[in-house]
Amino acid sequence: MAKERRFIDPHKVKLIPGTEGWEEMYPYYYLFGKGKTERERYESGQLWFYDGVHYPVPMHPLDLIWDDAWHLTLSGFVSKVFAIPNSNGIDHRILNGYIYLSGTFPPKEEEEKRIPYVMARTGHYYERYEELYKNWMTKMMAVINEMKSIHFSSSLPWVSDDSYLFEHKGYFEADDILRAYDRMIELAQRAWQLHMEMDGLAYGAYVNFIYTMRDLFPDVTDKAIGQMLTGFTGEMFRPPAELQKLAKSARELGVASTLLACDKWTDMAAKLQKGKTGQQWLAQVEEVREPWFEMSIGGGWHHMDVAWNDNLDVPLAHIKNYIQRLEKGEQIDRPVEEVEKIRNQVSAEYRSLIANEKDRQTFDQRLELAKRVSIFPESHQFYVENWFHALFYRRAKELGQMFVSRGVLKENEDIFYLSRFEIYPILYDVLASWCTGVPPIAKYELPPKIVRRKQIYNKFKKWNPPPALGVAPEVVTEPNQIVLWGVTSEKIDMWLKAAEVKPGKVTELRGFAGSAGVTEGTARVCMELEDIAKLKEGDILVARMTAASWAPAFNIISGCVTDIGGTFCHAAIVAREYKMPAVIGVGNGTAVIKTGDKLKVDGDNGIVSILKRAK
Amino acid sequence: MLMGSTDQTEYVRWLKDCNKSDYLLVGGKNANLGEMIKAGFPVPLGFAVTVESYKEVLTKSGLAKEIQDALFGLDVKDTEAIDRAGQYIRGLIEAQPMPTVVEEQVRRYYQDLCHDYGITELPVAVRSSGTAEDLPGASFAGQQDTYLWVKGDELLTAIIKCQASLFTSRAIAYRMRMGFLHNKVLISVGVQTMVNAKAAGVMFTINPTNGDRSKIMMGGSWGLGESVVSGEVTPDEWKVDKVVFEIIHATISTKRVERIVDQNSEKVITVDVPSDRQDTPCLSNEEVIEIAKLGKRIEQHYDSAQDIEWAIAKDLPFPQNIFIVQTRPETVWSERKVESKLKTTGSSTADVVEFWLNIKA
Repeated sequence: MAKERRFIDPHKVKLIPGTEGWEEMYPYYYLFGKGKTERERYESGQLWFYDGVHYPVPMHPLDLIWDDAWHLTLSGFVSKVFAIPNSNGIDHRILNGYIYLSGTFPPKEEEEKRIPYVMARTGHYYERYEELYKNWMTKMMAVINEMKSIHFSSSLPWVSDDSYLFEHKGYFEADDILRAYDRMIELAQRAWQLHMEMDGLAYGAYVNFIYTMRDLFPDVTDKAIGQMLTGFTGEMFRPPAELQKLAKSARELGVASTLLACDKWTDMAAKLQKGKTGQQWLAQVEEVREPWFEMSIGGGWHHMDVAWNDNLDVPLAHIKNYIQRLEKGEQIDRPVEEVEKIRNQVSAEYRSLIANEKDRQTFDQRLELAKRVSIFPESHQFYVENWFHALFYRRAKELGQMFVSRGVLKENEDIFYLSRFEIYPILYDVLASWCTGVPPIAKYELPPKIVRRKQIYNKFKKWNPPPALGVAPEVVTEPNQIVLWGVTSEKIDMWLKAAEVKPGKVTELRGFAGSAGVTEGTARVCMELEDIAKLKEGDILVARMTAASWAPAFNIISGCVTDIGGTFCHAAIVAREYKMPAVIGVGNGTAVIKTGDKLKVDGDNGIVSILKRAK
Repeated sequence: MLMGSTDQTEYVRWLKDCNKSDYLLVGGKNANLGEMIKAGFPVPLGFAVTVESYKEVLTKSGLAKEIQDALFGLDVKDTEAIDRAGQYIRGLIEAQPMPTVVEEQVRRYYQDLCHDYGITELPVAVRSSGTAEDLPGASFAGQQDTYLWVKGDELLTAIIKCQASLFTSRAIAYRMRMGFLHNKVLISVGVQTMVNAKAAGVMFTINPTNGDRSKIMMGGSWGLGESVVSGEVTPDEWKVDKVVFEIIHATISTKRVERIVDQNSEKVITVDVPSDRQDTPCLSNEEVIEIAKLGKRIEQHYDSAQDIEWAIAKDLPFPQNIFIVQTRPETVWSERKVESKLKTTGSSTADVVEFWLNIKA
């Protein structure tokens, strides 16, 4: 019998002092129980793993809308729509603001019953994947366009607009505003329904091919497999490609030096407006901003991850980096034909190394299927997590502004401290008070609540969520958690081992070899974006994970360590681009390493050594 | 053909003039080296002392019969008797002076080699090259002797000793077990410019533990290559992907000893590796990849998986410092019929569902 692998029970995690009552920020069904019923027994018997892949920081109540959406839609497409026999998807909980996930299963006897359904239904989709993807685009664009059409005015008029009366509508603004809010929430749900319509099947085929490669060629790297699948034609590659084009044209038009001299987009634009070539370049930007600057500066999962369009300093930093690399004579982009040539070469070469004829046929079939579906993994994130989320955040801020105008919030972004279920009654309160002339009740109740929630949130940020809670199964069999989060027995053992050692005693951390090379330097632990301002030349960045907005840090640091991520994560990609060592996914680096520690980062073997502790 | 040679029999031949098909004359190892030099691989230059030279030893002195008698009626299980016979035969061969016709040619070739490098007494490596070894299905690997850092007149003795090594106990026993006739197996000797190696080792162009053809497995240690082959040290090991040339895994071991050339005695000696170098990788990543790339090219040239010995010269810049000392076909996996590793329903979409159902981690 294997030893039971037990993490701290989710019900026994201690309250962070000063966060009493935090639970009210989130829906009741996201909380771990406090009793001794069937519910708590279920919770104690599950393995709950922290989803740092999507959520490196604690959740703001309104941002939870995405997690809650796929809580329902991923599980629904798995268990109800495609009737995958051995999974019911993923259950969700929140603890001290951090999301924990756990795979769920149907009863054994149901597996058999689902088989004819899953075969017919997945077969139907795979057979016409290209056609269905085209339909998907139409459906998704309809959602985006409708979201674009929704607006909240920053204040309410003193008297209802003429149109309501003279067009005999029979209702007035309040009705439209309530409907707009409902619709905005519905569209968020719909976007995530659509996300899951194609997602599971695409990843199924994709991951099946990855495992096929691993069966044929044990230890083959993800990078090598990635080269065989990536076409770089999906929309996720467009935004950086547009920045590369703008970098090139800035040099051609002779405005590169102006760009390089500015950190703020507004300063730069003001200077460029003065000259003809500058205006020309700005006009080129205007042509591509919609939609290609709707790319998030982070992962898109938090409202702080605004789009480039909302923070133009970020694309400016990227363009400047491309210009500098062009000046050094580096090639910043790869033509699609070249990528395709390499892809075909690598595939053909691995294929030629398969000794068994039957295996070669199976390989061909599976590669072909994976390539057919690859358009979805390479595209959908742009539409859902980037473009749609950015639109949602903008609408939420508009609504926040309206609340500010009625005295119920101090700042428009305070709205993110309210859950989507809490906003509707406040909106109703505000609209009724607009009519009655009596101040909204929220004016008295909300501001202190927001202050309190901000205090709690800041305490959450300093907390290190344990990688897992509850009891690990002997083998992990729920497919989603294996392929999407990499939860394997090996990983579970790693977490357990890390949990046994006191953080102060650790001298070595292991993760993925994200980017080759070895370097030594002083650690700086950066828990959030603002911290990167403190980085000094040659420091080693230690972070939970990084996102596109962290790119400027890579000009300063000499190496990088992250808690979360794999070969394809942002930190690994950028570190390889900058040719600096990186160790990725060490688990608890930000907890174990302290700013000032002397580190050795071995990007060849994925080892971080703490050479000397900071005093 | 060498100028001024009066004898029609070819006792010595430049390695670069040896072909794959010459293995009966120069032995498998030398034939291979010639093949590689022709294909443009960085192989240290040298010459083969052919089987004709060995035959000359046998016929001219009438040794053949004495050898046959000594081996007659041996029992493969009687190791003591085999030891005695082997020692006796080697003694007989080593007692003979090198036949003059052979000696003349060896000296001339050696002088030419020294001349090419501009060194009066060029250090060379002397290795036996059997006619039955290195063939698929019969791995005679390491059955015979090797002499390193041989110079001047020592060369003649080393060649004779190599010829005599056809009768080491293990070679005799191996032939008996494999059913080769002693008198049908001849020996050639390879004389190759010595690489003064900073590090050396071996590589397989296949993963020998599981037959995975997409990997190159490399082992290396400090100093001359003998310490790796002989198992005196636990070498550093690298697993390299043969398609995308990524180092997948590196195991750096503590390498306590190395074989080096002693400055004073000019002999190969085994010394302790200085402590600061024991745990240092003996190759840079750049060198690992370059050697692996050579391995892949050699495999492509022979169209079969190879077992290759390489060395990194001390005094040359990268990548000119990389040398291939020898290659032979990998014999275990290339013989085996490869079974299917993938389960399939025949339909790639149904396979996805099957995969989903059976995934475990």
